Amino acid sequence: MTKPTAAATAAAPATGAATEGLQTTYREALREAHRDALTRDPRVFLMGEDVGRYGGCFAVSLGLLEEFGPERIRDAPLSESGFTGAGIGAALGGMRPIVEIMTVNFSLLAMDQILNNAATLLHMSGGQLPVPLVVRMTTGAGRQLAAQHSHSLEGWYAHIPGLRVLAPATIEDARGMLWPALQDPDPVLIFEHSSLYNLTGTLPAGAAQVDIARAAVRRPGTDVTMITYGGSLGKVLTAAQTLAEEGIQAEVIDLRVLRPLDDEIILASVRSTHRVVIIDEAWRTGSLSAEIAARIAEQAFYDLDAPIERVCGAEVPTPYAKHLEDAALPQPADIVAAARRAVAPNE
Amino acid sequence: MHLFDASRRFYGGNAIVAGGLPVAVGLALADHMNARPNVTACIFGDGAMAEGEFHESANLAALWKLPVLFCCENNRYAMGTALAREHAQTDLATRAASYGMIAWAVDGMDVEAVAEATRRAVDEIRGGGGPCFLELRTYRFRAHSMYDPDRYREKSEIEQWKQSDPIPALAGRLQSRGTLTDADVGRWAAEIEAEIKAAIAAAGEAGLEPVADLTRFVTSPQDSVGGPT
Repeated sequence: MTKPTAAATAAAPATGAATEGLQTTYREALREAHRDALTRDPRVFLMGEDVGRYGGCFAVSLGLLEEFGPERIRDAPLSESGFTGAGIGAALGGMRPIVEIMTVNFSLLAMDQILNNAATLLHMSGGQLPVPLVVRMTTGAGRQLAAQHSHSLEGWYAHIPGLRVLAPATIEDARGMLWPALQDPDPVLIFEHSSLYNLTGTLPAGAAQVDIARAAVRRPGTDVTMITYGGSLGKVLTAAQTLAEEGIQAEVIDLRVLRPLDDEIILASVRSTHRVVIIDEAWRTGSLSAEIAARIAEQAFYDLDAPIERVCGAEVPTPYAKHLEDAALPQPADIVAAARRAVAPNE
Repeated sequence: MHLFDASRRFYGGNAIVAGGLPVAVGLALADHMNARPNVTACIFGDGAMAEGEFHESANLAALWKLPVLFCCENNRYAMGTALAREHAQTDLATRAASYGMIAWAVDGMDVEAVAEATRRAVDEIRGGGGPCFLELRTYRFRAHSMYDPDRYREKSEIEQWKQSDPIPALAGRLQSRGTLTDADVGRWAAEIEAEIKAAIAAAGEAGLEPVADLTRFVTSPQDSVGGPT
């Protein structure tokens, strides 16, 4: 049995130097982030369905059971509300739990705990009960998992005061967001798009810890601002490349943090390009894309030279059939078309 | 309901029936993982036994042998719905026992019986066998809330249960044993009433919370969190 002590709060320095500069995947970067956190802080443990013997539904935690044992890589029964609430209680009891929920659709069974307890106890208790909990889950479509495994509901969570909501879209963020999330005294939700786990790339030096407060400009440009996050980032960068070949220089913003939104970077870009396309795989109505559009309209209306464009998921339960699923999701061609409209609204 | 005192390990009531049970399991999990000798007690009603969160929590606590004392105050009504109208199996201790934990039904109108059962249950839990469940069979004399017109039960039923009101019953038993005198009972009643009146007066005299504090504690003060490193 692991027996963390008060002394455990003095965390050891980050490990993972061995992985920096090496070819890796988003999945391996996440695993290394877990290994690092579990090594540095004995209060940290991972709990969820099939995280142990199975190795994680998306193989993020593969091998961690052997390394850290069943107390800290804790297989939970199929009871999302029960084990998410247990994560909240363990956090109140001095631990630093990471709760893994297989998909965002399953998280609806835990929404009571996330909203009514995790996001609320600090305020209801007059500051007595901070909940330092991290909840990770898979989100998004593109793998033919159909309507009960594929939705993008992170915007619902971004609606809730008291939560920090993260969406790592790069290998660097997959590696670097977990540790600062565990340092946050309040609950942090991390949404991993299912299409990203096999993303391959090089982990830059210093990626063991990144900021979890700011958006990032992933491609600078002067003609149009394209705002996105998570699984759509790759498609937007592809679209930006196509646009560049036509002479349209798109600036691509990766939100990274869905709550609180980084208005500063968004507005600075809009004031520079005067044109905006928001790309979000989630449904359009009452969405995060609507919130961003509203903020731009509120704070930078007179800087706009064209109506705000949105490219969102079709308002249907995500279909299973490949061609229908593709049709339901934002695709690079849709993004390119929206950017062209924004740049030349009268054509 | 919305009272908290972290310094006393009191984690509050929860307006979502059964919503506090998974949290209790987690507090016990933290104690278990740190080898602390604590027991976490969670107190809920018969209505909570119909919620999925009760069953998820009972299973988790029993599966992981966590030090949780489940105390079900079965007062025979979930707000206005009588026990037999909400549960297929009204023997709640029997249902809890199906999770593989010790579960006892206790006369919840008998203070000494409740104290004794609780002591035994806590001893069992401290022995490392996992959670225990107490069904405390009791009754609610008053309406569910000030908005409840109490139309769902007979006045005669309330009167009948009042015959076994646990406070006078305990006082009578202690007096008959010579442990307590009439003067003791009178003095305690006066002291308790004075304490309640003082608390109400103190609450009334305390100023309102400043509106400027409206958004305080939505998040923790976190100057160093989330920033670039």
